[in-house]
Amino acid sequence: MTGRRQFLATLAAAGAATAAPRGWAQGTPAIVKPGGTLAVAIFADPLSFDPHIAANVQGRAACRAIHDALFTVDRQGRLAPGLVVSWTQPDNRTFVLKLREGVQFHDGTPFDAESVRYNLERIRSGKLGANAIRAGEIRALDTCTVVDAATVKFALRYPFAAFLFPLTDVAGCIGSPTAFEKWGLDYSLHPAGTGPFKLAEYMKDARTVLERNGAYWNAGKPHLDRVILRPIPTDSTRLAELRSGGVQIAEAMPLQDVHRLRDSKDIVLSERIGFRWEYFGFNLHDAYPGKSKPFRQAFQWAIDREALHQVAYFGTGAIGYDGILPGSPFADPGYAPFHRDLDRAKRLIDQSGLGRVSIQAPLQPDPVKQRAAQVFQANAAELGVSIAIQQVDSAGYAATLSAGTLPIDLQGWWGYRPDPDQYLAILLNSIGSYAKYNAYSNPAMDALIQGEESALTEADRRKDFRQVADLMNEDAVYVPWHYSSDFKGLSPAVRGFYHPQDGIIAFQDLTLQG
Amino acid sequence: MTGFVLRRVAGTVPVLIMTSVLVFLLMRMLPGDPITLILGESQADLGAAQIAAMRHQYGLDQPIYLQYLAWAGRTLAGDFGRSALSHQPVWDVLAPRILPTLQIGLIAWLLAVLCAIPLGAVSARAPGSWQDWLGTVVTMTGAAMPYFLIGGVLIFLLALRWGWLPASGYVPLTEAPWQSLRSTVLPAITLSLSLAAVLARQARSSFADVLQRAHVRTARAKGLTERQVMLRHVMRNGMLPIVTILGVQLGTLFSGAVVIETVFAIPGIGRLLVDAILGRDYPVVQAVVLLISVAVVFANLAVDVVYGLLDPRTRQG
Repeated sequence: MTGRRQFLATLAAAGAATAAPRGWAQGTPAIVKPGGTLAVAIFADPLSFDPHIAANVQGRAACRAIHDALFTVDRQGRLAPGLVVSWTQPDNRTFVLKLREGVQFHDGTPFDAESVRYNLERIRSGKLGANAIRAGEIRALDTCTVVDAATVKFALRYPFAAFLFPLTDVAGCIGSPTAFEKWGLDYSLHPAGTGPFKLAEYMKDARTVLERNGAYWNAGKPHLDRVILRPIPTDSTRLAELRSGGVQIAEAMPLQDVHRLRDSKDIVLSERIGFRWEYFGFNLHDAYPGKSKPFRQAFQWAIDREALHQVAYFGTGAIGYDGILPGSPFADPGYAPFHRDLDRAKRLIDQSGLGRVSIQAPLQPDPVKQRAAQVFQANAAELGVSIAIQQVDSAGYAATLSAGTLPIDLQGWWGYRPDPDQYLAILLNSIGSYAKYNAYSNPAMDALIQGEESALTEADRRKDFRQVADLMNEDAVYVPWHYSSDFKGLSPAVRGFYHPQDGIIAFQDLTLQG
Repeated sequence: MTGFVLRRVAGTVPVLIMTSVLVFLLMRMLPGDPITLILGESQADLGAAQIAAMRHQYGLDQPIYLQYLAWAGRTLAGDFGRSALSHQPVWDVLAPRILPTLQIGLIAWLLAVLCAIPLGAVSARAPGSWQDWLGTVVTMTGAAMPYFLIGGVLIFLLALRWGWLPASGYVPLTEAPWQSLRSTVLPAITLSLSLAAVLARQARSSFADVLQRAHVRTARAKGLTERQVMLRHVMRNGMLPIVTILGVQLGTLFSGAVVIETVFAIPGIGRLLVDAILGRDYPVVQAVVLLISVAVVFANLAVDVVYGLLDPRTRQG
C-alpha cells in the first residue's frame, strides 16, 4: 500500500497525470499548428459567466477561460503569477501586489489597479446584493487600496496566510468595471474579462462558444480559434460523443468504464488524483449518537478503507487519512494512522455506552456514494450499529445538512482548493459554517487553525497542518477515507494538455493536431 | 363551433389555476431551497445573515400564500421573474427551449402515425396472420423498452458504430435546417416507439371493429376494391378513437421529453424542468408547468375540434 501511495504522490508532485502512456501529454509539440475548434463534453451547464456568481465547476471553468485571475497555481501546488506579476508581504496583515501592465479587457477598458479594487468591492458589497456567494472567501480583507495604476495594497483584518489562494479561482477573476456597470446582473451573459477567450455564443444546456481573444496579453496564445463547451448530462452519451469524434475532450468519465478506457486505442484517459477528498461526517448535536467521541472514533478503525477504495471507486484514486490532498505542499504521503481493527472499534463502541443504535442516513442517488454507503453500512453492522439509508435529492441533502439535522453524513466530500485552509477552516474552525452544522467546537482546534492562518512560512504551516490532521482524526467529526480522481477522456489529437488538480483546463495551452 | 371553442377556452382557466397552486405547494413541500443548493455546490462559506438576505431577496422568507399571490400577480402582468440558478429572466430561459421539444415531439408524432396506422390496418385485415403476429411483437417490444435503453442502443448503433447521425446535441432549425433535422432524428425515433406501439394496438382493434360493421359489407357488395373500402369506409370511421389517443398522448410526449432530452443532451423543455426541480428553481418550474398545462389543454381542445370535422354528429351536441 505504501508503495502505491508513494508512487501516486510522486506522480502528483511531478504534476503528471497518472495515465500518460503514449506521450500525448508531453507539452506543446515543437511546431505549434494554430487554429481549429475544440469541442468539450461537459457534465452540466456553466449557468453563469459572472465569476462572482458562478457556483458549479463548469461555471468556474468557463469564467476562467474568459477572465484571468489575479493568481494561478503552479504544478507544485504553489501560488504563481496571473494578472499579478509579483507580490510582497511586508507584514502578516499586508500584501502589496504588482499588476501586469498593458492588459485590456475584451471591451477595450484598460486593466489597472482600480479595476482590481472594483472587483473585490463588488464581491463583498452591495453591488451583487445577496448573490455575492464569494464574499466569505475574502472575509479577511479590510481595505484594498490603489497605490498607483499598477500597484494594489491589501490590508487584512487579521493575519491570514491563505488569503491570496481564493484569488486563483473565480473570486480572483477580474472583469471590466465598465461592463459590470453597464450590464449589472446581466453581466452573466455579457462578460468582459482579460482572458484568452471571449464569450461568442451561449445557448443554455446546448453550447457555450468561446472565441479566441486576438489581443490576449500572452502573445501567441491561445492557439485554438474556438472552444465549444457542450453540456451532456448522461455519462454514456458523453463517452459516445468522444468515441465518435463529436468532441475531443470529455469530462467526468464514468468510473465503471475507466479500466476499459485505459486500454482503448482511440481515446487517451487522463487521471488526476486529489480532485476531492471524501469523508464520513458525524453530527455532534445531542440528538445524535455522533455526540459521543468514542463512538465516532470507533469508525476510524472499523471502516474498511480498502473495500471502499475498490468497491466505491473501482480502485481509482487513493485511500486517504486526512483532508490534505496529495499534490498539496502540505500533504504527507506517509500518513496512515489507522488500519482496520474491529476489536479496537468494538471497545470504543462499548466505551461510548450508547448500546445498539440505529441511524438514518439521507443520501443522494450518486452511484459512487451509494456503493460507499453500503460498505459503511456493512462495517457499522459489525459494530452493532444499524444504518438506514434514505434517498434524497441534492437540495434535500443540502437543506438537512445546513439545518444541522443530518444524523450522519455519508456523502461528505470537499473539492480541491490550493490551500487546505480554504476548506479545513470551514469544516473545523468553530466559526466555520460546516463546523456549526455539525455542532463541532474545540478551542484547541481553533487555536491550531489560527496558528496555521497567522504563520508566515510554508514550513511552519506544514507543521500546523499536520497537527490539524491529527486533532481532526482524534475528534473524528469527519472520518476521512479517500482521495478521488478527476478523469478526462481525450482524443489523441489534443496536444499541450496538462491535467490540473482542480480539473479546470487551461484552454489557451491546447492545440489540435491532424 | 365558435361558441363551443370559447366555452372550452374559458373552462381551461380553473384547470390552469389549480395546476399552478398544486405545483407551488408540491415544490415547497420538497426539502431544501435554491439558496442551500447554490451554497452547497459552490462550497462557499457564508454567514447566517447573508443566507437570510438571499432568502429575502428571492422572497423565500414570506408565507407561502403570499409567495403564491406575488407570483400570480407578476405572471398575469407577463413577468415570470428571474431564474434562481442563472439569474436570467425566466422567459429568456424558457423561450428557446420550446422549439427543440416541439420539433422532436412533432417528428415523433408523425413517425408514430405513419408507422402505426398502416400497421394497425394490416393487422386488422388479417388477424392471426404472420403480419399481425410480427406487428404485435414489434409494438409490444417498443412499448416495453424504457427510453434510456432505446436511446442508448440507437446512439451505439447509428452514431458510434455506423456514424450516420450525431450522437447528441441540437442544432437550431433556423440555423441549419438539415443539420437540425439530423440532430433530432434519433431522439424522435426513441420517443415515437412507445407512442407508435399504443397507436398501433388502438388502430388494430378500432379497424377490426369497423371491418365487422354492416356498411363495410355493403361497400364490398357495391363492388368497391378492398383499397377503396379501407381508405373511404374503414379508415375514416376507425380514426375517431385514434385521434383521442393522439390527444391524450401529448402528455406522454412531454414526460418522454424529460428522459430523452437528458440522454441526447437536447436543450428542451423536459430537461429544463428536471434541472429546475432538482435545483429548486421555483420560478422556472412554475413557468414550465404552466406552459405544459396550456399545451395539453389546447391539444385536447384541438382533438375535440378534429372530432367535429371527422364526425358530423358530435357537432350537434
